Amino acid sequence: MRSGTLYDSLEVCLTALDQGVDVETCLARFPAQAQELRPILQAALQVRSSAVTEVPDEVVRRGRARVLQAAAELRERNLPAPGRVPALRLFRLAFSALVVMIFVLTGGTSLVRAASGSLPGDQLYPVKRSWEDLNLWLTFDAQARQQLETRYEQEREGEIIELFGADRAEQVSIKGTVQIRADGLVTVGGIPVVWGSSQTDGEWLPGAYVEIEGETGDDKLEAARVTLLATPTSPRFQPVTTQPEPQETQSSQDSPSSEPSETELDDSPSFLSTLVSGYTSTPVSQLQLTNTPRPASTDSGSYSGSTGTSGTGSGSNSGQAIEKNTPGPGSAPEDASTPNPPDDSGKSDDD
Amino acid sequence: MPNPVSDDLEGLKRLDAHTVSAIYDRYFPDVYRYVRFRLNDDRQAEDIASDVFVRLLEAARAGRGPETNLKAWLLATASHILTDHLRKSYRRPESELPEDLADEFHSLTINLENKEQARRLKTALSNLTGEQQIVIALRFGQAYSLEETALLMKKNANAIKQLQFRALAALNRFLSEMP
Repeated sequence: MRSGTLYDSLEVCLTALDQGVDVETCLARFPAQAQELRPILQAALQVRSSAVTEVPDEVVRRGRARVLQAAAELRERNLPAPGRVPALRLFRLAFSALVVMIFVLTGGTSLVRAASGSLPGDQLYPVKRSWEDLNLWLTFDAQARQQLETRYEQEREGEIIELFGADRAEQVSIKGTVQIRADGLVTVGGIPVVWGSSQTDGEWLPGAYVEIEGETGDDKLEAARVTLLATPTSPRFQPVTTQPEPQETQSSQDSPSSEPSETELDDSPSFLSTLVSGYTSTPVSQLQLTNTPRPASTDSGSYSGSTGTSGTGSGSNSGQAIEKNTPGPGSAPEDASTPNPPDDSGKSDDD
Repeated sequence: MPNPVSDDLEGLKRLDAHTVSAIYDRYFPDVYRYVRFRLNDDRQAEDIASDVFVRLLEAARAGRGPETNLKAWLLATASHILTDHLRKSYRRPESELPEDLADEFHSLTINLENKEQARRLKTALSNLTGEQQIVIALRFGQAYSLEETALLMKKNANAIKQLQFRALAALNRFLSEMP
C-alpha cells in the first residue's frame, strides 16, 4: 500500500531527524514522496522545537509540597468517622423500605434474585442486605431468627473470600469469633484480620465475639474498627452454670469454662438473639481486652448455650460491651442448637 | 505477575508519604512537560500537573487507580484535565496569556524564535482532535519513541504511524491557514 509506505517513510525520516539528519537529505531517500512529506516534516520540526525540556526546580518543589499535603489530608479523611455505621444502617433501612415497595408493586423477586450474588461495592449489594434485614425483621421465632443470622454471617464470610479471590478492596463488616492460630495469624469468622493503618493496635481476645469493619485487601481484612459483642465468657459461648461474680469487670483469669462469671444480661430471655444482632459503639481498644487464654473448642462448640431462666450466666463485663437494642420476644432459646459460625471458622483456618 | 510498580501501587493505596514522594519524583517531570507542551501558560501547567497527582491519590485510595501502567494513567489523566481546562478557556479566550506570564513563558520556550510563533503553534495544536494532540505531545513534546507512544496510547505501532502522519498533516494545514 502506498499510504502504508508513506506512514513508514515519515517514521524513518522522523528517526533520522532525531539523529541530526536534515530534512532534504532525508527526503532524498524517498523522492516519490518528498513533496508530500516535506511540509509534514517541517511541521514536525517546528513542534519539536517548542518542546519544554527542563522543569524548573521551584515548580517541582511546589508541586511536591502540594501533593504530599493532599496525601496527608486524604489520610486524615480516611480515619473511621464516628457515626458512619449508623448512617450506613439508616441508609439500609431506607433502602429496605424501597425494596419492600418495589417488591409489593412488582410482585416479583427478580431484583432480589439478581442481587443475591452481589458483593460489597456492587450496585445491587444494598438490595441484598436490605432483603436480609427484611427477612430478619419478619422472623419472630427466636430459633429461626438465630439460624437466619448464622446463615447471613456465613454469607458475609463467603463474600469476603470472594472479594479476596477477585483482589478487590471494599469496605466490609463481619461478625465472628476471634481465633489466634499457632503462627500468630488472627482470624475472625475464619477471615484473616490485621489492624488497619489508622487503628491503634489493640489486643485480640481469643474467643471473643466481635464485629469488624474494615477494608479487604491482600487476602486480609484490615480492621478499621472493632466492636466487642461478647466476651468468651458470655453465654453466647458458654452454657449457663456456676455462681455469679458480679464485681468482675474483665475476664477472669480462672479457667472460663469451669468458672464463667455472671452477667445480668442473662435475665433477658432472648439474650442469644439479642447478642447477635446487638452491637456497641465502644472500640475494643477502649475495653482493655485481656488476652485470656481460651481453648478454641470451647467457643466453637458451645453455641447451644441455653440461658435458662435462673438468671445465671457470664461475666458482667459483657454488660458494658453490649447494648441490648432489640428486646427479644418469647422465651430463652433453650434448644438453640444451631451450628456455631466459629465451627466454620475453624475449618476456614485450615485452608 | 511481578510488576515493578506493584509495590508503589500498594503504598499509594495507603497514601504512604514515602511512596507518594517517590512516585512524584519519578513521574512529575514527564507529566509537567506533557501539560506544558499543550498549554501556553506556566502557572496553569504547574497547577494541572500537580492536580494529576492529587487525582492519582484520590483514585488509588478509592480503588480506582491504575492497575499496572502508572505513567499511562498519569498522562491520560493529564489529558482529561487539559481537555476540560481548554474547553473552559475557549469560552474566555482573551484572558489567556497575560503579559507578565508571557515573559516567564519566554524562558521555557528557549528554542522558539518568538512568542508569536509559539502562540500560533499552540493555537494550531488546539484545533487537532484529542488523539492527534496526544500523539504530537508524546512524540514531539516528550520525545517518546514510536513503541513507547504506542504503549501509552494502547495502540499498535502502525496505528501510531498513521495517527502521527495525520496529526502533522492537519497541524501543517492549520498553521498555513492562520494569518
